Amino acid sequence: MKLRKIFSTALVISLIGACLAACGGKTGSGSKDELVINYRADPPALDVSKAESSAAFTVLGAISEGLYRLDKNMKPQPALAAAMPDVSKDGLTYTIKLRDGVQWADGTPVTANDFVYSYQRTLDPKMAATYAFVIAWIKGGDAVTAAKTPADVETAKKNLGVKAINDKTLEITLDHPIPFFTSMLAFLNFYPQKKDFVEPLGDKSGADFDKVIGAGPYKLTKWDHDQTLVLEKNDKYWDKANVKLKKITLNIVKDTTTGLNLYETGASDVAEIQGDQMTAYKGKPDLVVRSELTTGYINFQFKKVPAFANKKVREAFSMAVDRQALVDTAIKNGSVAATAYVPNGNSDGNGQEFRKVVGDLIPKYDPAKAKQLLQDGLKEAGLSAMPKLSIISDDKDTDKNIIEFLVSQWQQNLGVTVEANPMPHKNRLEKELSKQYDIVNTRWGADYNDPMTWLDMYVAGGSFNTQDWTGPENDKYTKLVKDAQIEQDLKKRSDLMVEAEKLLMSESAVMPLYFRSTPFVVNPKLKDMVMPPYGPDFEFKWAHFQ
Amino acid sequence: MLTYTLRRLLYMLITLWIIVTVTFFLMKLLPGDPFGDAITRLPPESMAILKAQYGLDNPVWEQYLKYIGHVAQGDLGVSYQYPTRSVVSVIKTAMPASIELGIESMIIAIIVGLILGIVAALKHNKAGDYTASMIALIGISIPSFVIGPLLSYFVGVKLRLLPPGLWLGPEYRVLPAVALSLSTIAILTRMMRASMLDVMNQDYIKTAKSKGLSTANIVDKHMIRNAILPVVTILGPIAVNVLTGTLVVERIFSVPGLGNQFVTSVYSNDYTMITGLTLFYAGVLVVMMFFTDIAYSFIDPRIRLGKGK
Repeated sequence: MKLRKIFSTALVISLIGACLAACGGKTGSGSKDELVINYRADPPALDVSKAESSAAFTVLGAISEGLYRLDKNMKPQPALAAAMPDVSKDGLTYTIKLRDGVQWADGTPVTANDFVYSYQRTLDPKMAATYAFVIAWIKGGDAVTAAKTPADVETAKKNLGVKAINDKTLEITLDHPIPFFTSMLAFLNFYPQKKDFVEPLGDKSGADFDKVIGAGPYKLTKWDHDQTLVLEKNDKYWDKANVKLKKITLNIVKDTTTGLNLYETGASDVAEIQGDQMTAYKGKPDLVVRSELTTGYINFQFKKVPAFANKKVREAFSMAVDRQALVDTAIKNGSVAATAYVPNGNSDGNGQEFRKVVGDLIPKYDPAKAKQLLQDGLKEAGLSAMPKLSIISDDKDTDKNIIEFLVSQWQQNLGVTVEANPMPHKNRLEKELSKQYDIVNTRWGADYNDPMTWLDMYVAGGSFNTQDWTGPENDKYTKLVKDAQIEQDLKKRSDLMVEAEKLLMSESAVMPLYFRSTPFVVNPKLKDMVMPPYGPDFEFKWAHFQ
Repeated sequence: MLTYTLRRLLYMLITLWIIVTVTFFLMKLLPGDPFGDAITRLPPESMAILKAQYGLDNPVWEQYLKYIGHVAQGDLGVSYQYPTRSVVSVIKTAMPASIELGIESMIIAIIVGLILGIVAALKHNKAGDYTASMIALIGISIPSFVIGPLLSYFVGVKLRLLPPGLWLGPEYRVLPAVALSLSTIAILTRMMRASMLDVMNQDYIKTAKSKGLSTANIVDKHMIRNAILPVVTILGPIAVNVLTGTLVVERIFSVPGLGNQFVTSVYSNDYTMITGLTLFYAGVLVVMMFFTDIAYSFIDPRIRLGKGK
């Protein structure tokens, strides 16, 4: 009978297959100039204007380049630019010479016009680019994003403060002085774009390996969506002598358990892991904890829960939480207890680390004092007890652990019952931004390395002032931040921001919990691969094997 | 026969339409915004433009009519998480891996399941039976999200026999296919065993025995051949079972297939992607049931005549 024939053939085939499989060689990454890493997500469009995810930043950062590139100390170094910019006395005009002979991966020259085109394209309202707001710091930028008709857009683009004086010289005029603007020029959305390459692609720009072009250390030679991205050394790169790796393979691995298994078998040199997977690697050279410019914090809604409008009540909630125990027992991924709002490692915009300049601003964990404060605060607010409260949060394991920990601390130390209410990320975000919460467990990551990315969130009427912090203290805070935004003296500017954060914390207007870290296992032989604290996940340019 | 086929076809289309409609409106009820964290950084004007680009500024019924119109033309829209890729192109990219994984796991399941079932029936109430039944029990009670990581760790990391994940060469197919096949093996083993036992008690087997036929001959010609028929008829539904299993297994082994894509889309509120994939899965399922029905009606005319079920 036919059936039997089919079965026996199938049996033979599968047996042979299994044998071949078992005997088949393993693909490892033993070779010295090829790097294989696990990567957690397939990047969305690899388009300079549209890029908004760390995945896109990571890959585009490898295949292209800006005027400057941040080194391992997060200091901008000339890249497509020949030298550091000439900045006018008022801090508004940046004149930048391009490096001689810089070219796109196809061999055509990179010109100043490629930058002009890029910035105009990003600001175009049609693009609805997430990071258009940083390009809009250029004079006339907001006029482009706000333009209503196509004709208005074109006019506004012409008036934008970015000019190609000649092919090699770019002049950028800012709306207001930005002391960290040179670093910003290293940020992905300030990269150049090649008009005659991008334009014909329309909305397919950055969709595939052959629909993206850069002027960076590597080029994208293969992109199997949701599976593999292959980067190969770009021999047209101006600094190719310092690019040691011939090939980088990014395998999309979404499950960290599988990711770790791949690392264990040598099929991968880098794998992101979870907190509970760290224990096995404690003390081994493989474990690398990347500290990020990301703060996890709690917001209290002042209007929905009038008790939270009282400063002492907020202080009590903050003082009742043992942050060290939180990171040690609930988060367990290398994150550290927050000592204020702006995270460790963040610059103060004046050459120093902000956290070191300001110091610790969070009151010590003190349950007895917290309880007293709560009673005093309730009395001041004319209330007898806290109402029934709930805390919303993302539903990731770490976040669930965090809110469980908080709920038990508040119960135990304050006698306040809070209901834990985890939900999907987007759901939480929507509720948070529409102020539909009592307490929210949330976080923020720096868009750029300056305290302003943190402090401008809570000015009066700011869209992140979701707690509705108002009143004379907020007025004072808003003035400090606005003054800092236009202050040209870097020392004074930093001082203003120091003042602002001190006020934010003394008012307990937000309740910082932890400065986030992400643990990785990395092949100890791999050197000089930078894991920046914000923006891209990896900087591959200088990476090499020992 | 023609009327029957046409009627089934009509039912199939109605089923698909109901699925599209329900999924579409369920998506609209989902809280959260498909644009994700962009809403934290975009000014309201840009949000409005973005929404207009996706047609989200229109009333829901208008969005629905438009969507149905596009679906009828085979256009499932553009993914929210990959703004440069259409849902159809994502499905096209992801489908081959899923189909391959499904077929491989079916082959493993059929071979192993049938053999175990036959052995169990022939060694009825003996050690062989208990072993096979035990394997079936384990296969059906341990979910693939447990067996997958175990296989990946023990076979992949501890024994270093096969790669613990990814989808590169032929050796990468084995573990996910095995993990996916286990529950199917269990179902097939139990079906085949029951069916064999049923056949073994038939009078014609006794006749064959009394005629003096060899045991091998009886088993081969009379038992398996008769017992396998009911099992063959459930292969359609079983293929559907395998299809849904890929949701879990593909993620565990980093297989770039539809299941993996589905999970990612759900995590990122990718409306068009979720609706598109649901429709695609439902479509495959409904088509498969359609052909099973037609096949049944060939085998058993009573069904065609609309009597009994």
